[in-house]
Amino acid sequence: MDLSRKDSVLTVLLLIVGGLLAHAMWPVRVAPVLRLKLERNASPIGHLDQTRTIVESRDVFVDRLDLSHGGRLRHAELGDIGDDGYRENLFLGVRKRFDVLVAGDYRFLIGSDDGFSLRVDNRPLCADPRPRALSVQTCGIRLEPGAHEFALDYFQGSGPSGLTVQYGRQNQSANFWFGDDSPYFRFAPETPE
Amino acid sequence: MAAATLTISATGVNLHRSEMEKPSRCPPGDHAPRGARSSGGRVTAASDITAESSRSEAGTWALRWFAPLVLLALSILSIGTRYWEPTSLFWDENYHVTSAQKHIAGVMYMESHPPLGKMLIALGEAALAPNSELDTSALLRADRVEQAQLPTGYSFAGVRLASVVSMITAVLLLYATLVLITGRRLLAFVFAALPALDNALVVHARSAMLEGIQLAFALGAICMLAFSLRSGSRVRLRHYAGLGTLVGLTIAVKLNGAVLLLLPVALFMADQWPALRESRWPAAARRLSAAVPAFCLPALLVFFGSFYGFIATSTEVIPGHTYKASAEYLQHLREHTTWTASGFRAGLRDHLRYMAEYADGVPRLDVCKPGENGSHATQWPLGGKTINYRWNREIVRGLSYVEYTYLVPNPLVWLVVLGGIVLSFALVLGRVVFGHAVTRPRDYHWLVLFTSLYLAYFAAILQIERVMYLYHYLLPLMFGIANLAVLWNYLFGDGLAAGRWHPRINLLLLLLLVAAGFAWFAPLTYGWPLSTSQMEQRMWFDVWRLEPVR
Repeated sequence: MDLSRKDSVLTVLLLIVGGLLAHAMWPVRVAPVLRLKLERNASPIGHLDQTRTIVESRDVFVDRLDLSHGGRLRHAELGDIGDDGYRENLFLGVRKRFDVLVAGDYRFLIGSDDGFSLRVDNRPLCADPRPRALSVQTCGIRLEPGAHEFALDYFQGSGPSGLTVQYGRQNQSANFWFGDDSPYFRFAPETPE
Repeated sequence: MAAATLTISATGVNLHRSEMEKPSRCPPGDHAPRGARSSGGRVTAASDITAESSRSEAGTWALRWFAPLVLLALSILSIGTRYWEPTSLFWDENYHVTSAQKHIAGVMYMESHPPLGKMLIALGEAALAPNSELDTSALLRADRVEQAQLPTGYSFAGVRLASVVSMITAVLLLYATLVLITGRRLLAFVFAALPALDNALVVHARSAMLEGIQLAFALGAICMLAFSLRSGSRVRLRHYAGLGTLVGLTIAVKLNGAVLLLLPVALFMADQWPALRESRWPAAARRLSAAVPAFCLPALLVFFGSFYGFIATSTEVIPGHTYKASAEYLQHLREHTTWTASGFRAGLRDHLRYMAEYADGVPRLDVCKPGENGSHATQWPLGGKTINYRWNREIVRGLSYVEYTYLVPNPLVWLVVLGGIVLSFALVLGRVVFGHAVTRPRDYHWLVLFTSLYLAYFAAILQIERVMYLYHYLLPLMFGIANLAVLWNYLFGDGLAAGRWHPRINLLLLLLLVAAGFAWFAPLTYGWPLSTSQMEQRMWFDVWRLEPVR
């Protein structure tokens, strides 16, 4: 191999390594589709509707409500939601306007540890406001085309945690993560401040 | 005039010198084997080397001084900046700080390592005396001191000084070694910068521990070998003596430095290769009879001399801390006669016995044990297992931030070093097994040496049953860095010699990548706060078993 080709091969190798390095170091980002409002409570939380004493709050943006990994409230790419300061005694709220493209009977599958409550267009859909282990609840609703309001409240007391929300047509087996566009729902991205 | 010539034997590979019939015309710093004849490899590299030497960048004035000065500044910046932080003990500092204080106070103690490293730690503390106004007597009554036992305001500037200065020196010695071997200052600069940009080496060098000190002596020994084999000079007995001194100092810090006993073998073979090749055994034996004492006497002198300095001056016995001192040694301690021959003999015997028994008592590696920090040697080249030396967590505005002092490698350094070893080994196999020609015999033989040192270290370590830790890899890592530099010269030296810009750009690109890797892991080296997510972004390899503090 002549000198020039040898040097060129090495340059390519080094650039590949550089690319991998940049990829590994690049800050992890996902589309800011959903704004999660995290609130840390001063006292232990035993019920979703208890009086809140919020000592700190912050917003976190995620692409979908797939937040149960390893027994923790955790995004697959972003890691722990809110980091360690928000691991326990935490309220989480999601308010999201979404567009329904096709009229029909839909279902929401809410998995939570601990409790939650879900309203759509300010109409209570389902809830389990007490501490619980991770379990999935199916909530059905008829939706017409157009904009709708999604309002989810969740809390984490202590121990393991997690939150997942999926949606799908009642007469079909396929489910989609809430936040992911589909032939049925559309989600506009939020604008982080 | 004799010139260094490195050739290949038909039956194996050897580092050797041969007499040149004509005076060498190599300029200083250019040690290419001009006019060299190969014996078994039938390689003649005269013509290209002539062009190479005429264009070599080695002679440029700017690089001659600029490169080492930049290297010095870089080392001071990465290793020396605020080295007294964190202001708390971590890992073996709990032992070495007490040992150093005992040296200063003349208190007898027994420990698992030879005394030289701790004496130098004590020297740094005595030189700066940052704690002279504090009551450090608690250190004399403990073998392992806890942070709470240190007086308020205790400064680590003194006890960490020797390691910091030694590691900076090691970087410069590596540069000198690579200049002597390759004659290329830019290449030497880039590869000598790697230890200053390796997070594991830097975090360890910035501590009151032994590795940084040992590495300076080890690099000094390798530099001495390179100096002995430089072009235009004959190997003298004083070179054996210098090598013996530096190898002895290396072993006197930590016994794993004994791997450097391969260096005098390499020096002798290079020195006597013509005689060995021509089966002039009497001549070789005569030389051997002079070379062995020339090497061994200084080596033994500095090794046992460090023990003598320790035993003779550490005569105070703290009640209840007699360790395993024999009645005879204790008698000498009471009478302050440990400086005598009989006192030294009794003390040395007891100290060596204590070291052996201590090593036997260290537990084996238990990977099932929660919190096990030890690791199997086969994982070291990939960086397994990292060690969380200390951490401090703070909550800022609801977010948890942790300041780590973490033994974690710069993977850009460690992986290219491993790749270099694999390539070198393949090159040696290709030569030995398949008889492939070697284009740059001098570089090839240095590759053989560095690869042998690297593999010999592992061969020895794998015989040890006690638990070992990732930092035991720092010594072979230095062999690997030197090997990588020579391998680079082997592969791309012709382009560098021709003054082409492309190989130089590649060198600087490598340095840039290494610097980026260092910067990425720098928070774990200097205790800069990281959130859990930021820490998780640095968990690149499972074998590291890097864990965020939750």
